[in-house]
Amino acid sequence: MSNLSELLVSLPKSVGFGVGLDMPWGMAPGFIRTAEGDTIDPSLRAFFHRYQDDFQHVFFAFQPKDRSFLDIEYYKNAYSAFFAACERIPNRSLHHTMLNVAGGTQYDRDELIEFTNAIIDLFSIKWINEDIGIWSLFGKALPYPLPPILSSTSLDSAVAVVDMLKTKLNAPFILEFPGFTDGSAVIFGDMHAFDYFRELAEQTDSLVNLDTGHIISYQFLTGRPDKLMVDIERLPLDRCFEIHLAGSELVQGRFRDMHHGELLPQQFDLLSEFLKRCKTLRAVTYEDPKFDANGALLHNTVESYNVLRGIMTRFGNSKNA
Amino acid sequence: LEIQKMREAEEDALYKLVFSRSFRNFVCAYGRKGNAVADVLPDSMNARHLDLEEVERFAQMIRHKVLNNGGVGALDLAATFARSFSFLKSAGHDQSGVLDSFIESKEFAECIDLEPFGSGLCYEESLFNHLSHRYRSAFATEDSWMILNHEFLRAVMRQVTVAKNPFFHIRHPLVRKAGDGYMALQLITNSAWAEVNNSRVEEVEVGQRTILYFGGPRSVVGPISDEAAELLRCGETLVHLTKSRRLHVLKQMFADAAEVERFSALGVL
Repeated sequence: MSNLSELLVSLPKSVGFGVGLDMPWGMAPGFIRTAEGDTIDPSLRAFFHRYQDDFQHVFFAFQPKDRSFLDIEYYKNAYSAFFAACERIPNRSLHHTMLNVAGGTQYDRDELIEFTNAIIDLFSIKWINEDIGIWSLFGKALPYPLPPILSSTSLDSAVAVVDMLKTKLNAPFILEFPGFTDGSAVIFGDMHAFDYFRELAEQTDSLVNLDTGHIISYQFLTGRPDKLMVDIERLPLDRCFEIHLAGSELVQGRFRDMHHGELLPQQFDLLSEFLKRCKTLRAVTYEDPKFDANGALLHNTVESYNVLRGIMTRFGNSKNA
Repeated sequence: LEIQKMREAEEDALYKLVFSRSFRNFVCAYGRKGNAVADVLPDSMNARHLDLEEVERFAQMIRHKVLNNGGVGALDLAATFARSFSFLKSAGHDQSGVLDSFIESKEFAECIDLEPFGSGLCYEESLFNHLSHRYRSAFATEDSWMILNHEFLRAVMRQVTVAKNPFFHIRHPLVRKAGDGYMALQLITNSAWAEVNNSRVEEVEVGQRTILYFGGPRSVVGPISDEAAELLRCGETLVHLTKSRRLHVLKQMFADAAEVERFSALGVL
């Protein structure tokens, strides 16, 4: 049995529709502090109350609470509140933001890994996911992750980090294709990003996450806005475990990864293609839905949500037929 | 080893491009003269296709984040050093120029952001050090200098209170470890203290007072009596003693034993 098959044994057996949320501290729809302790914003609780039965998996994106050392005791109450509010969603994952795979190997990540493993063990997290990018440079966090330097030396470095993470993390680490959003990302290096990502997945024998917005952003930034399917066979489609769809828009011919809940037709096109071609796919995730204080999806995002849910329902039915 | 060196060269070049405006300008000028930019950046970064405008936009985002990010850890240098920035402005230094010089300084290189590993200074201490060294003349009056010190000390104590175990080092001579927290004393003129508290300066009495800054299990910032300040200074010289021995000595020295107990309970002594 290959490592990939071994990995899939511990993961969901069929393709599920899920939801992912960025969870800032101190603002809706994230974590909040109350007299009774840390918890989640009431609007998120209401959202889960309305929609949780639609989903087979859920994740939140990690954000540090403040500038203290990472300590699971300091985060436990808030995370417990999050998962209690969506207790009927069977599978949980964590979108990390500090593993910094492409940010160099020259520092010790052991404390971070210990903290991550505590979350995995305490909340039965089934997989960890992070965009392969530079989240910090020499200890200084960037406002938006930079894609890796697309060179063979950078690739070797990233391979070493992923190999280390695979050894030390208590759950499978899924590599996410990074974003190349115009204006908040810069490209360095000679390699094609799809080749870099495929090489990284193959050399580390990893499963991957294909974020539709991130892939479209690369096609736009490299001058192929009308040829979204060009070169996608260079992606590791045979290792695709998860697909992300986050709200995006086109502004004056430029692609923006807005995470505002409204999906572009191009994202649905890519999803359809991946659903046909990715045999190891297990998760399709709607990222950062936008909802009101009562947890109802905002009017301008309902259509995106319904279209996506419809695609997944039809896909599930066709699989079962 | 060769690959490692190349990787380090890439990281270094990327760091400079993202954080250093003067380096970006140099690369740009170097390229305009018809030189191969690859001579100053590693070949593997594909410098021929480098879009410096794109890099500049990203660098601006970083400057904005450093200055105005009120999110995690309440990092908001513009608000933290509001009065100091206003002194700088009146001396002809605009905020964005000051921040550029900070980001390119050795003080910025020493600070560390959100990652709970490694060692470094917090942004507040790094910026304070930079302003103290580079812009000393902008804080021309005694009051303005005191206010810069006050804004720094208050910010550090706030961070220490938010972060029970701050991952950054506080190594400034004004600040010392005290019990479970950090403490500083500052002599400040009444007019400067009135200014930072938005009082009418002309109404305050002439003279100065001592301010206690303590960040720890309980955060305290405010004026204290001369006798209390003396008590804390004496305590500072006795830190080599065990706590019980220190309290015993201080009670022998000061008539007000209750004051000794109060500071002890607070964690300052």
